[in-house]
Amino acid sequence: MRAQPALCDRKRMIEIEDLSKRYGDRYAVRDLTFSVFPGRVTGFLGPNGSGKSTTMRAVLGLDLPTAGRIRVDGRPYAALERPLTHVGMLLDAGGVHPGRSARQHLRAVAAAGRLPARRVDEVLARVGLTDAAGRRAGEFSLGMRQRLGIATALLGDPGILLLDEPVNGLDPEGVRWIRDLMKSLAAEGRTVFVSSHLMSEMENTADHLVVIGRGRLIADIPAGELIERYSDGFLSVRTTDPGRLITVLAAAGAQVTPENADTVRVDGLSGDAVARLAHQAGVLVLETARHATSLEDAYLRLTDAAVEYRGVPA
Amino acid sequence: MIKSEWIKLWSVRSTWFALYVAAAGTIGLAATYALVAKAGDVEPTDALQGAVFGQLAFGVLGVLVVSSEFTTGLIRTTFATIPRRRIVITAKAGLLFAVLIAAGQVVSFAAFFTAEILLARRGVHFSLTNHDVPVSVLGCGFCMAFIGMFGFCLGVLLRRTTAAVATFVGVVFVGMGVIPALLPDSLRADAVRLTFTKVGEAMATPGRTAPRLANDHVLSTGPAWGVCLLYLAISVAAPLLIVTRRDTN
Repeated sequence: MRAQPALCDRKRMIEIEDLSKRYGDRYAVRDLTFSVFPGRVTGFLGPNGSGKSTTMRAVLGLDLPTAGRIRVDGRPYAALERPLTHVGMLLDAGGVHPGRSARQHLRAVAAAGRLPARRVDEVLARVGLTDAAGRRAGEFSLGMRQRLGIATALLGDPGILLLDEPVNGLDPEGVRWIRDLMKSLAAEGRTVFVSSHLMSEMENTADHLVVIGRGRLIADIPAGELIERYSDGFLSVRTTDPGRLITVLAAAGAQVTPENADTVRVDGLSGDAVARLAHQAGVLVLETARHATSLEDAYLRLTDAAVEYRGVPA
Repeated sequence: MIKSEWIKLWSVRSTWFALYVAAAGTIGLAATYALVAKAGDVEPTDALQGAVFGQLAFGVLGVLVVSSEFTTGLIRTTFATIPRRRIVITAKAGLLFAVLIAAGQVVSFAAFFTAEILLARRGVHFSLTNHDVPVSVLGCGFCMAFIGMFGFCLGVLLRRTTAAVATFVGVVFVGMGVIPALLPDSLRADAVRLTFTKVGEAMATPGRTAPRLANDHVLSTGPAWGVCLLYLAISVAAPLLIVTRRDTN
């Protein structure tokens, strides 16, 4: 049993404990435990069908968990007073009636959430939809609909934001707008929890990553650490004396294999260490090239075993 | 919460469209009746037969009020905003019923007065003060509102617009006409009396003066209201029972 932090320390946190959700005889999420903290963007990553949306819906009390506990701001979601002032959400379908204008949509949500009506114009301005507020949402482009979804999420000025695949289908400008917005929301001290099935979308945005596959937790680590821990970056070192360099580096514990006549591949040593060891041994290094694994590669390695449906390699 | 539902109801065109259709169909049929009925055997309550258009339009509106929220995904925002889902359903149902009662009465009285005025020009006079005529007109409007709530019930249970509308039409206008005919004779009369259309007819015709045919099975006014209220209670209770037991995906 872990010690529970005091209630005041759990503000703006999402705590998920042993969450399981079963549909029929299939588990969408199984024994999932992690927490999401304020002041940073937490990416929620996993292949399609890995349970991300189910988890998010469970946090909002929309899906009833088969087992487990979820706390938002230290309390079960259903016990929150005026939930929209705690959590704002953008779920994938957007949730806007195409026949309703942006302003009427926001007015209806504000009235249901017991939020002041002036918030409607404030959030419209923040997402840049003031001029389009009177138009029917069905006439909106995908990017505008997504902005309206974000406006809905911001309506209660919540400390926690839950965004399910917010950049799906957006053009590059829309993607950048959402990225910048998420960063600034986190910088304001809010908790930003954003799901995606593509690591590339998270690469420059997320400070922390929660990775799941087949409904189970795979990793819960700072974004920077993911590369270090799961990448297999290596060095290509060109030298005048490959034979001697291999001996020296192997003695230092590295895995060294010849690449061609004057180049060796080094796994498990930093560029600094290689240069230092070569210098001590009097071996001349002509060139050192780093082959870093991208976050994407690290992610694919991580989730490889957990991909549910896979095409045949072309 | 009521305010939110009020905004949602009036900010889409389908609400207005359904009310126009209900009014045009019901009043239009009353006018047609007034113009073509044989002057000798005019039955004032027959002018209310166009209520079937009102019932259809109200039923579709009842479905749409809730199914449009499920199909667009707005329901997730709504339930996340108000985690106690029964409050949401109660607010929706209460507001819809209030609007349908008001609209039903307006349409029903408008139909009656239209027929009255047109028949008076042909020299046939009857009025609202005639025996039991006000009860007929009120009953007609109330039954229309109930049928709308049945649509609402199907909208919550089925969540998809096409499925709910198809079921609504199938049950109210097709199934209840066909199924009694398949039943053994001993049950048929009672089954017919309990169909929505026959209950509606019973509520709309206490002012009828001519005797009914022997094989026309219709409840008397009091029991018809009782059955209608029972159906109404079920139509509201079923959504309240089911809504907390389901996932909202």
